[in-house]
Amino acid sequence: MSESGMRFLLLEDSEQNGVEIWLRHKGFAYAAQKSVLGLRGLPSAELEGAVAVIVALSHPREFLTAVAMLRGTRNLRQLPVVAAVPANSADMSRSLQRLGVFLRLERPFTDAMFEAALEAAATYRAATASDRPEDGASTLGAALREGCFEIRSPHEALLLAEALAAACPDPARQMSGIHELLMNAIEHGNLGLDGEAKGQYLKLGTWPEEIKRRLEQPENRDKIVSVRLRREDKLLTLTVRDQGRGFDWRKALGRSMESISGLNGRGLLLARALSFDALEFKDPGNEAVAQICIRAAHRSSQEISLTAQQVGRTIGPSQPARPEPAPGPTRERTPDAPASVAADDFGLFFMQNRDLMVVADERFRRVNPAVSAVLGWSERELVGRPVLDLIHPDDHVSFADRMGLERDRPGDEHPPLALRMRTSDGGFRTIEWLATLGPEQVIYAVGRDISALSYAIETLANQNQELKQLHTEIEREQRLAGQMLGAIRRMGCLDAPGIRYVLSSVEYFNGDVALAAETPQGELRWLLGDFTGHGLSAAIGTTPVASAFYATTRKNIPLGEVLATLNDSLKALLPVGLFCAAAVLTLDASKKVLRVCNAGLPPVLVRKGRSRLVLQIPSTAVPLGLVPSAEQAVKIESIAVEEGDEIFVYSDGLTEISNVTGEMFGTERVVQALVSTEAEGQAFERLLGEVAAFRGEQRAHDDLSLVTVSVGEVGRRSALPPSPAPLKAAGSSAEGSTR
Amino acid sequence: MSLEAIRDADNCTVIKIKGRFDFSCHVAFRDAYTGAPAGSDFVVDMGEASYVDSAALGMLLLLREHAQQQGVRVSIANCRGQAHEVLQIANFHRLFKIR
Repeated sequence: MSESGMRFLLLEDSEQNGVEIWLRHKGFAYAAQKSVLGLRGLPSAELEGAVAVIVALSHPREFLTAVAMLRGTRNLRQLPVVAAVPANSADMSRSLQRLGVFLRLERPFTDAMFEAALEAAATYRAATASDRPEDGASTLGAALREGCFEIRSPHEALLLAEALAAACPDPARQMSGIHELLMNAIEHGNLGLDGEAKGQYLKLGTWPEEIKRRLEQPENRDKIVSVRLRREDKLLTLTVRDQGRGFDWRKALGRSMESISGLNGRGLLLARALSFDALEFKDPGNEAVAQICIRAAHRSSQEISLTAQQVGRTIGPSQPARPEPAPGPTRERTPDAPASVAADDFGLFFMQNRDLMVVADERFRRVNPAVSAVLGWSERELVGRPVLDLIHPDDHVSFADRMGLERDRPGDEHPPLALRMRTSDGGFRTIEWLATLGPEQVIYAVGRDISALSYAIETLANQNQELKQLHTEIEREQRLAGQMLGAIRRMGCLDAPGIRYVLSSVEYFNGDVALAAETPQGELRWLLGDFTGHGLSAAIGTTPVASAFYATTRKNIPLGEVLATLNDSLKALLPVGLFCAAAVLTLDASKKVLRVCNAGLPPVLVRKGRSRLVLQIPSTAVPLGLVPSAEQAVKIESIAVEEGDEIFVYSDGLTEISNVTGEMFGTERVVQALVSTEAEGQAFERLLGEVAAFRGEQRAHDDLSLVTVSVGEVGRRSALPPSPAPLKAAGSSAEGSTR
Repeated sequence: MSLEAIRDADNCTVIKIKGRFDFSCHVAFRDAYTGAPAGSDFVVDMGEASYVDSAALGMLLLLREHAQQQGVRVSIANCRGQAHEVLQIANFHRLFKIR
């Protein structure tokens, strides 16, 4: 049955509890959240018409906390609570009752029971719609001045916690904290179970049995927890002492809620945040001292006050022995009690946030647990300490500058400021801060630990620098080698009229070698070599190749023997796997006969000027340096040529140029470019233009090699200087004339 | 580029190249033939090789030398397209059995 306008608030942490599914199934209007914070965060529109809160959490312990929080929330406390508790949680019933739970339903319960419970809650709500003012402290509370108690077992702890809570100003809130301290004393103190062990037993589901077992051990039989509650005018002090060895309470209380990942460990933090105004332990940690401020009766106690930071430093009278607390986002300030950050959500936010949160002027005023977790200092060591103390000296200037900026231009957005902050173990961590200046020059800052990030950035920057340097060195060496290559080339006549070329290795020692020279008889010889392995084999092979080429040309050695010489010297020099694809060509003095030996380059092309036909001379030999000459028959092609013909030699750098779709230029396109050129002497440019167009970008031709010899032009030039002597000493080279 | 080495029915080690056969295959290719069992012939399957460059030719030569030292044979199979063209220009049929 669902009435329009009637809604339920549901606090359910797992779909498996089935309540949300049930509500939806039955057609009830509801708003579901996984946490009390979530419920509090609901917009008022959703809270409108809410008649009850259903609590269906998975773990019994969480019920107490949740219900306490609900009771402590202003706009939720008047709603009756229906608690759907797990089976066998009878021991909770008293506490829940005490906290004011309207109805407790223990699983398993039927549909009908649940519906009846909701109906009852709705009716109750309707009947009590006007807010009831909260009672003041109970009679017991008003009467109590001092009480001493001794307990042993968890059951006794529960009963005592209820009783003591009744004496507190806000029983609902203090109950869970008192219970936590008592249980802590029993489990961890007297029975010696640490957090990890507890986690194990909780996982196994044998926690209650383990407690019972330990209680009955002879060494534990006589152990007690002594509890004292003392009430003064404005302050309640609760002391809980166990007979254990103590523990590192500073560490436990110094953690942030976020940092706790296990099943347990949050109890003390929650107790401090929710129930008490201060919580500390006396070393070695077997005596807990909690303080609760008793405020003026008219002040509502729904807000979760956060005063631990200030009051926690002193044990004793409520007057803290520290300088004026800094102004914060307070709502009210009662003169005797320390200032509190009165904000429902902000308080928990402050405590739970994994980011560092700081309130400071020139000294630290308030710090959240994350500050301790990251920098190592306890709260006590920070509050009141000058801020500059913790900032790395080299960052003082930027800090001061930023403070100046904030002061002069408040309200402007400033980018985060990274500061190195001192840690308690003597190091530094880099924290990136976002801050605003509040009233009276107080800084509210949120910080993020970026130490790992800045370290990574720094390392990257260094590596980058190294890489840049290495790269520059390599470039320099290549350039030097390229200069040497150029010198070798200029010993010949590659720059003579009639010869045009583009070389991939003009600037760098990068693989392709082009040489040209003339025999004493006037025969032109030229060579294009494409070394595999680029730099290395080119460096090894170029000099002997050039030397052999120039020497054999000077002595007019027949072409076949030239090839053999080149081949064998490379074979001797180059390691297996490195070789030189090459073509060697000769044009006789009368310019009528072209001889070609192509060993591994793409087809040599001859463009007939008259007919525009293109002849192809494919590779007929294995590249140089692979096979001993004795084992290979070298094939030499002879072609009749005439004026107007052009001869094109190129390496696969040209044919393998690819366009955007990955298609390669290929021999066919080269041939096409030559065929479609109309005017004589234009083919060279035409071909390069086609390549550029094909590639689609404005790139220099720095990765292709092409040598073109124009039969007519070469014939027309005046006599070239004779082929140079073999390379022995520098400085005796003949410069080829430029075009 | 991917490369796998398998034993075929005739106890040959078949090294199958997929994708670009270039310098990046260097280590994998060498591991493939050095790790092969002694005495098995080699077949380099280029059926799925999309591109072959001079570094690949160098690798084939290294395999050839290794095979010569081991006393076994190397052949190249399923050459198509660009791979076929490159091997042809380099006249590698004089050095390898190509089928």
